[in-house]
Amino acid sequence: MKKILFLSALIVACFQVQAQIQSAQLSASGLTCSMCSKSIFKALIQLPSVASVDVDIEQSVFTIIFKPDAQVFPDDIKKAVTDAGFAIASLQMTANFPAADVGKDTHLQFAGATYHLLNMQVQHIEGIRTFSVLDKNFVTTAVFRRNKKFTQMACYETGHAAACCHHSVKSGERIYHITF
Amino acid sequence: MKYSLKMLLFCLLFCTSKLLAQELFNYAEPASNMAAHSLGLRWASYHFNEPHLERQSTQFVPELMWGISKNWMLHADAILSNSERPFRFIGSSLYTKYRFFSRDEVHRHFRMAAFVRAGMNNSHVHYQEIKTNGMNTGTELGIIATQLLHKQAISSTVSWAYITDNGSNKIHDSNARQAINLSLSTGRLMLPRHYMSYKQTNLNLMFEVLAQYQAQLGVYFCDIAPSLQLIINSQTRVDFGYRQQLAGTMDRMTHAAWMFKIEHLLFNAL
Repeated sequence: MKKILFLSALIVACFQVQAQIQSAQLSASGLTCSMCSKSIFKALIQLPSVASVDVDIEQSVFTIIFKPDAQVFPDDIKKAVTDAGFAIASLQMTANFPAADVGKDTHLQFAGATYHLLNMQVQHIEGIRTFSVLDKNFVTTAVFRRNKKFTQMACYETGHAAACCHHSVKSGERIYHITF
Repeated sequence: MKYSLKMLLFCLLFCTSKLLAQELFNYAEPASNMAAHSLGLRWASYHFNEPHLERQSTQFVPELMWGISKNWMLHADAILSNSERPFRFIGSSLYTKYRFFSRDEVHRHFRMAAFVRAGMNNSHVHYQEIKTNGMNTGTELGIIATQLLHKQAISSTVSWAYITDNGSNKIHDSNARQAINLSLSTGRLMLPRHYMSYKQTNLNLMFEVLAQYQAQLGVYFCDIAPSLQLIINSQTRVDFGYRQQLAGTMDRMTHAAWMFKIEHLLFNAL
């Protein structure tokens, strides 16, 4: 019974935490050649929040280090990649989290954005943790469709807060869906 | 006319059996666009023999390319030629392409784009061949489909061209004013075997088939165009190609031409 109550509490939980996104690993799709890869590199490196980008051209994987205290939004990274003419196949971001117990449908507010946790067991997070962004256009179309089984919530389809979200999140606000 | 169609079909089938490649083609455009806010500077030169006049001619085509957004790009070119001695400006064209479909996966994509070219030309109209970027004043509308499969790609273009008089230089009454253009393009990344850095020079081999059919006259041509491409510093392209008529019944300025092209991309220029 205690567990049920605890899980219920997590479902409606919305934590505001101080967490700084430090780095990201991005896999890009739709390219093979180095000229295409370089166009993504050039688009990423000119983002104000980006300190450096390391690239594995063969695998189309970009490791991004962000500037200390920079505001980092996944949408900015997505725009850079799509403006270069390509798409994101996967995006993992690493942040330093304070201690918190989180689970499925927990909402975390950090680094200026709201993140909705999907597809995960209740767990304790603390310190450097990596999460994957699961929203549309942050994964392949096939993965996005497959992930729909983890939630029936309308916000996952649109990427914007809806009636299904925690009351503290304004309706229509950008909400990213992630998993640890 | 039936013979013409059969030959055209044969050419296309012959070439699809040899498909390889990357998609930065030398003669046809792929469905992909350049990066948004980027500029491209291109200089192309074509050297060819004009059998009717028994002389060699050259055409220079400087071109500016602009990635307006991720889906939309614009090209503007000028055409200089010494075909009607001496060397002079004979025309220009504006080309815009919109990518309307993309299905991207890791190391592969399928994309489609539509394009429009508006060409202006002031040279004499001597030949049946219709070319909106280099010989005729007119408009061309087309669709491009490109499939990338890791290091292999295939791209096809179908377009319809309609021409008007080149100013005071009239089109002969016996000439057609419309044509259907078809192309099939492919190539292969030969070097490097493994990507380690953007500074590695890439070597691509391309093979393209370019055809035109004029239903009004029942004439056609089908060219093959093997070419070689170097990509330096992942930013500068150098292309060498040779285009040769494989079959055809059309009266043309030339049946063979050498091509040299250099192109430099300026990322985030705008």
